[in-house]
Amino acid sequence: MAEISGADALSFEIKGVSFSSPIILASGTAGYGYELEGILDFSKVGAVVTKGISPKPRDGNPPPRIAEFSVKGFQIALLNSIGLQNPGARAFAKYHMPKLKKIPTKIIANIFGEKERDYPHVIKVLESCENPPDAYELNLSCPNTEKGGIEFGVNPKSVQRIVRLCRKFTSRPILVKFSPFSEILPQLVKISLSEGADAFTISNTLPSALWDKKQGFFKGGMSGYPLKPVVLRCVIELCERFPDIKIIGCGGIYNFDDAIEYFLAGATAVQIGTATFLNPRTAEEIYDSLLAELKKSGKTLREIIGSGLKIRSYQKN
Amino acid sequence: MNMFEAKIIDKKEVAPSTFVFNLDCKIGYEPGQFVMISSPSIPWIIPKPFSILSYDDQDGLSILFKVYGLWTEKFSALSVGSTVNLVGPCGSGFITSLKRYGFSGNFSRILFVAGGVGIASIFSLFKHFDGAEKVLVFGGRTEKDLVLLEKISSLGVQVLVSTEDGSAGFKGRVTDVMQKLDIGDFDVILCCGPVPMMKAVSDFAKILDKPLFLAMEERMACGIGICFSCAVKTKNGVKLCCRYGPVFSSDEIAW
Repeated sequence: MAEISGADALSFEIKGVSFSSPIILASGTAGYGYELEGILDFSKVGAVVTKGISPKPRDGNPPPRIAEFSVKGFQIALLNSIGLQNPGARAFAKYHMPKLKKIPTKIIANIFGEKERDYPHVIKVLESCENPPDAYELNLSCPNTEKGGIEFGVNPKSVQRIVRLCRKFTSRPILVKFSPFSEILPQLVKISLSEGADAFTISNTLPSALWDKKQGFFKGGMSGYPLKPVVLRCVIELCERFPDIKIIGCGGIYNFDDAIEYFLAGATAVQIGTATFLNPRTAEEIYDSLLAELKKSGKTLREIIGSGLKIRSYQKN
Repeated sequence: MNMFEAKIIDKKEVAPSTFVFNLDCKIGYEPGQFVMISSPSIPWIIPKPFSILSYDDQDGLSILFKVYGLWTEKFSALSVGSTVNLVGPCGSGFITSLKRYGFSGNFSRILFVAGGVGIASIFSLFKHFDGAEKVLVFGGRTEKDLVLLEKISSLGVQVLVSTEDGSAGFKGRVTDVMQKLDIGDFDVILCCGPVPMMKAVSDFAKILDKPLFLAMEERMACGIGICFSCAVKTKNGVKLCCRYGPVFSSDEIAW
């Protein structure tokens, strides 16, 4: 078998769909993707995951929608409570999808619902449009809405019904995005797999709160540095338990070193979130570093993926 | 819009805790647009927005800001020669926003209203509307909030000043000046300052039945329309301050 080398070594597949890079832009932190045109080299990005799309338009939450978490003069995390502002599935299909399809990367539509049947409804609308997305990511983990999201993502029965319903309406890859909040994550993953889910995004933001002397508590989802060790632990446990599944690691990735930790834990790919705000080219720079590092070490990414788990078990002895 | 690395080539404390920084960065812009700045020496995970005060080939890009938190405190302490990261120009400025509402921009008399460092968004409009007669109502809490007055006067702008403590000009708020002094007739009002001030100016503009355009402010995490943090409620739905704005027609805002 010929050695896979160069940029090809970084490609991966989910359900027959090929992604050219294991560095993906996370939902909610890349707009609809085309906002980054002219700044970011999309050929180095495996996919853009869109803002969450619901059946009907949503105004989102009133401002303020973000709060900064600082410790001793360092801002280490961001709390957001955007509330899934989006134009609704039909307007998204009509106005955003044609523009998105011009971006030279894969498009993963992030789906959100207040009711279980909202998820297959959005997929049905997008499947029937002229430019359907390449894959779907079911958001079963948004902490910022009164109904739906995380409410479904911690309930095995809801997860089962939602994935089953969605599978009926598309043959494209289905990713399920969970919260790191749930203790029953392995059970939820197992159920999703049995209903036809193809990969998992681990994870969404962590439900959190910050106190402000003037404005009181700000409740939102936390992203940033503190998320990495929490999510890394989830990825390790899932990859050890289900060695053959595809996990996309997402949480606190700012540079190549952060990304490689997720690969060592067994992630097939990673998503870059809040880091894109500080440096819109973060994903591109991580791709370049990864490619350079593989060239230097003579290893393939496939050799690296999961290799950290073996070291961990050695330390246990 | 582009990404730059820029050196701080000059810094001046123009009033207590209020700074003008000059950055060596070639950038085209329209008045009201802004840049997002981050610094490798400030441990922060989101960049911060700054209105573009002015740009020319000699002085580079100028920004005006007041220290109001930890980030701006650290930023103000950076020395000349330090490098910062910059994304911009961001948003839709006054000219784009005026065009959106069918205004060609051929005004003969313009009323400008600024509060404190809100003057940063307004300042380059004075040169842009070179041929028009210009009146600025400039308000602050104290005299120290009223920066760049000499420069503004040298641009042929008639300046009416108000301070809440009476340390300079008319004692009161900008809307008091607008009500009590003879500011004459004008074609349009262009405004930037704290949101409560802009709301008061908006109420006043409604009474006078004059078009008003405002540079709004909201918490931002990206400045380029990817995070959806900076929501502004308008009569046509929620709009992003960083992309559709920051300049809005007052009529469009759902106050």
